[in-house]
Amino acid sequence: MDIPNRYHSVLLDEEACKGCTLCVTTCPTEAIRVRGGKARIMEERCIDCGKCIRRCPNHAKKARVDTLAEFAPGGIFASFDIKVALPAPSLYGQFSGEYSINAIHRALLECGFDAVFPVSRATGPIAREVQLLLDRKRHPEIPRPIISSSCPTIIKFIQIRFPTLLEHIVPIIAPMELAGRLAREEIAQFLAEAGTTKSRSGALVSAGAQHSADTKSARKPLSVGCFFISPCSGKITEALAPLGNEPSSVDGVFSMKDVHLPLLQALQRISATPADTPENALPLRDDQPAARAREIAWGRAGGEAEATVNGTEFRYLAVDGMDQCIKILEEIENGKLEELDFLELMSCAEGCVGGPLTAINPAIAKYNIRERERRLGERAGQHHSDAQHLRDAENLRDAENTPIEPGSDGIPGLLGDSARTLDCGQCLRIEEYPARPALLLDPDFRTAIAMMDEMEKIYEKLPGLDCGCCGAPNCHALAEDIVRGTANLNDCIVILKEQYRELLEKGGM
Amino acid sequence: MKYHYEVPGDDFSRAGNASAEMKKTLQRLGIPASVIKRTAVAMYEAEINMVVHAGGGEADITIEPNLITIEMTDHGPGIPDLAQAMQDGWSSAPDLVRELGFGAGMGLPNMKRNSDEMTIETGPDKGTKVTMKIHVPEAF
Repeated sequence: MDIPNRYHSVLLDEEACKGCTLCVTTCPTEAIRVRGGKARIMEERCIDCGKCIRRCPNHAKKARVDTLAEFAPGGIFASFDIKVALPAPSLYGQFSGEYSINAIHRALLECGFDAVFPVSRATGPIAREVQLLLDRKRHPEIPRPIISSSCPTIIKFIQIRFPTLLEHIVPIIAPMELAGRLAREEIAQFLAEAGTTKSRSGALVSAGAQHSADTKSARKPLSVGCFFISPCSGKITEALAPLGNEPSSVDGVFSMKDVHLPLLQALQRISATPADTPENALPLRDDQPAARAREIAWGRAGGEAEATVNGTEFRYLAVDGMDQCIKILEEIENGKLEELDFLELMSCAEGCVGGPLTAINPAIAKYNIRERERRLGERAGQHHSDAQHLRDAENLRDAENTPIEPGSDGIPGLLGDSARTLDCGQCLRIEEYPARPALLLDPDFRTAIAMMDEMEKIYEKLPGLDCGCCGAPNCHALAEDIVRGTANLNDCIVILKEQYRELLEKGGM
Repeated sequence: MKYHYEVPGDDFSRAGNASAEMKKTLQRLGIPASVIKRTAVAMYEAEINMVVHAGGGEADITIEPNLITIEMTDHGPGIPDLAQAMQDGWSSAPDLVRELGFGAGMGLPNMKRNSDEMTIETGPDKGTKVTMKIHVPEAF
């Protein structure tokens, strides 16, 4: 992966871009302009929502993702001794209930990962920490409603458009980041206890079994790489260019779209073999199925809020889709909705399952998650329903209750399963999110006001059709671009047409 | 720098549009976030008042280097008892409006709280003109 720039991970494929304005008029922060026939992104305004990725019929907007090929010798990730997959909860919505969560984790191992730390396992501690902060008496310092910090696109949007609401954002890190930290901790503990190191063949062996010539000083500590399986472009930026200055625990990001086919192929292989043999049993040990259901629910809209207020009387609102989120943020900035304790804002419709880097229709993916929740809920309730046959089918393929077996390399294939590693106080976000005044015309107020004045005068000359043909999303944006010196009045095709007509008339043609 | 907005009298869903637009303008100018918020809240409450009580009206905003002036003018029935209307929680909003979540009686008090100066000219059948001034700190 090339060095990420400071702001965003959405890229333009210049060859594929035809210079149409579909993405320009779709962008919620008016961050795209067609210039020189290509739809270019204004870095300081991009919030990585990925709307342009979804909208572009020519697939010219892409996310800066990594590929599994980088694991191969010579690849940029080849040097990591232990490669840990951090699947986002939304991944479980990409496959029907025919494949169990357990099977999906095993499929990740088949794709070249050495271990899996489900990000869903990091949501539990975060929900607990956030719930403590919701107490108004103990935490009057945070204005209400407290806004979730899970969606990086929402945070970026607040930084640009609603800087007064930055202090509403819960001072807790996102599940992806926590999952990476916990995975590293767990592996370090495991290695310390087992006293293992890696032999040249690449297999983990215990220190005692090493050749005597292989002295301690010659041994290198094993390097751990954490790789997020992401539904969206927002999370890529969060991993590679964190919003604060703290380095991320995540080394690379794969898109769900890209890993979909390899995973599906692995799932088909897995389901063709019996699951209950020790070497391929890698179960989610769901001794607390209700908690597991709440954890995977973070993959869909509403799941995070439900898990956060679970068992309390706290009032919450869960909003998905950028347009609705903007309206709610306006309400809060207008001093409304103070009675709410918690506010979940997801920039994608249906939540993370609706992310621009997912493979499956968001509504179906949401249904898949809900089905998994329902089945876990039934197991928790110990009651049988008409869906018994579904569960039987699942159990047949892949019992989720069989005990964990370590992988052949000695590292437990499934991490995040021990209560010890999850009892953590490392969820606190220390850094504050700064405001990002991307709309500012000029730092000098008098210059800015003169530009604003000029902008309004130009706007009055424009037709007000907001057609986007000039390459700016609307007439106001064109007026702003002209004042900023990046566009001309006759970029407007209506004005150009009039000038042309005048020319024709003068020429007497 | 002057801005003029029409506030529609018959559409709740559009109440607040003027203040939202104003907010973007103030951000372009680099006005401090806290001042933008106060301006937006004062204007938003006034917009809602116009829709609820006066069948709409007009918003005129003047931006000067140290001062934002918001003039909200309507041709509604006027405010019969201004002192009463200024009390927290007092509302003459009809039930229908309250059911929509408005009419908590915080409109005028909120406008006053968020502006540095507020004057109200009102009278029966004369309509109401609320003028709010918000100071912009020098050092920014």
